[in-house]
Amino acid sequence: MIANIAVVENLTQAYKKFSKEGNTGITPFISNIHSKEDIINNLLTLHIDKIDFITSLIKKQNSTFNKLFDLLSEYPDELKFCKHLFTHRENPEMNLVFLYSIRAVKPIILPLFKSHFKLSKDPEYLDSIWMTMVELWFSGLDVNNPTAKHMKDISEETREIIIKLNKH
Amino acid sequence: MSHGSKQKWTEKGYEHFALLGPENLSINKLSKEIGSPRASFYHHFGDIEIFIEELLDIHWQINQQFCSIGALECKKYFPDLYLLLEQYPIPLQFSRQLFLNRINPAFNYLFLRTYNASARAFILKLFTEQFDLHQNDEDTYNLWLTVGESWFSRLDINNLSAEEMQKLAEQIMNSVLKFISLGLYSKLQKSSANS
Repeated sequence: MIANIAVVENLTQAYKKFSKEGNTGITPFISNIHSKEDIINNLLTLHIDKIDFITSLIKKQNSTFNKLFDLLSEYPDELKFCKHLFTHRENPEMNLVFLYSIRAVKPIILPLFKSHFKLSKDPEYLDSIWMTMVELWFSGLDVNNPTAKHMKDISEETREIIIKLNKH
Repeated sequence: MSHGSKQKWTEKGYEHFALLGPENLSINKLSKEIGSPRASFYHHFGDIEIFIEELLDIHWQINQQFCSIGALECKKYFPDLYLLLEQYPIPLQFSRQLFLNRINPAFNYLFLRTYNASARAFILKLFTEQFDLHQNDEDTYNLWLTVGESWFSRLDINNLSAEEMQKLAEQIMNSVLKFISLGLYSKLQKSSANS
C-alpha cells in the first residue's frame, strides 16, 4: 500500500513537473520506473483519470459558458499536460490520449460553445468545427497564463473565425 | 477575359499550393507560368484570399470525387487505398499542405472535413476490416485520425508510390497496435464508454 502511494506520489510529481516543463522535467523520474515508455504510459493513465474527474465535475456543476473557464482555471497542470499532448500529436500514443481528452469533454462543452457561438446544428459539420475549435483554442492557450480571463479571451477570439467557417 | 483563363489560374494555383505551400503562392510566378498578365488575376479573383478560397473549394470537390471512386473501387485497405492515393499525387500533397499549415483554421477545418468525409465514405470500413477492430465508430475514427496525422507528418513527398505509402502506414499501425494491446488503451475505451 505504501509502495503504491509512493508510486502515485512520484507520478503526480512527475505529472506536475512534466506538465510545467515538458520533456525536460521528466528525466529525474525515469530512474524510479523501468523505462521512459513506462513512465509516459503511467503519466497518460494518470491524465485520463484526471480528465474523467474534471469531466464529472463540469457535469455535476451544470456549468455555463463563463463558469466553465473558472472551473478549468483550477486545473492548470491538467491544461498544461493537454497542451503538451496537443503539441506532440505526431506521436500516435499522445495523439490518441489528446483525442480521448477532447472527446470526453465534448458532450458537455460542445453544447455550451454551440449556443454561445450560435453554430449550425448539422452534425457532419459540427464534428469538424468542434475539432478545429479545440485545436485553435489549444494553439492560442498560453500555459503560463492559465487564468479564466485568458481562456475566455481565446475562446472569444476563436468565435469570429469559427462563425465564418461554419457558413461554409 | 474567358472562363478558360480563370481555370488556368486555379489549375496552376492548385498545383503551386500543393507543391510549394500556401506561403509560397505568388501571383507573379503563376502569371509567368500560365502566360497571363497579373491584371487577369485581379479581374477574376480580386485578391489572393479569394483565390485561396477557390482553391479550397476545388480541393473539396476533388475529395468528393475521390470518395465516390474509393467507395466503388477499393475493396481492401491494403493495397487498394494506397493504389488509389497514388493516382492523386497533387491532391494528396494539397492535403499535406493543409495539414502542415493547420495553424490556419480554414486549412485545418478543410483538412478535417475532407479526412472525415473520406473516412465515412469508405476508408473506415476497410480499416476496421483490415485490422479486425471491434469498437464503436468514434473510437475507430480516433484511431484512424491518429494514424493519418502521423502518416501526413512523415510522408516523403519524393516517393509517393503506393508501396512506400503503404509501408509507412504499416509502420505507424504497428506502433498503434502495440499501444492498443496495452492496458492504457482499454482504459481509454472504458472511460469513453462512461463519458
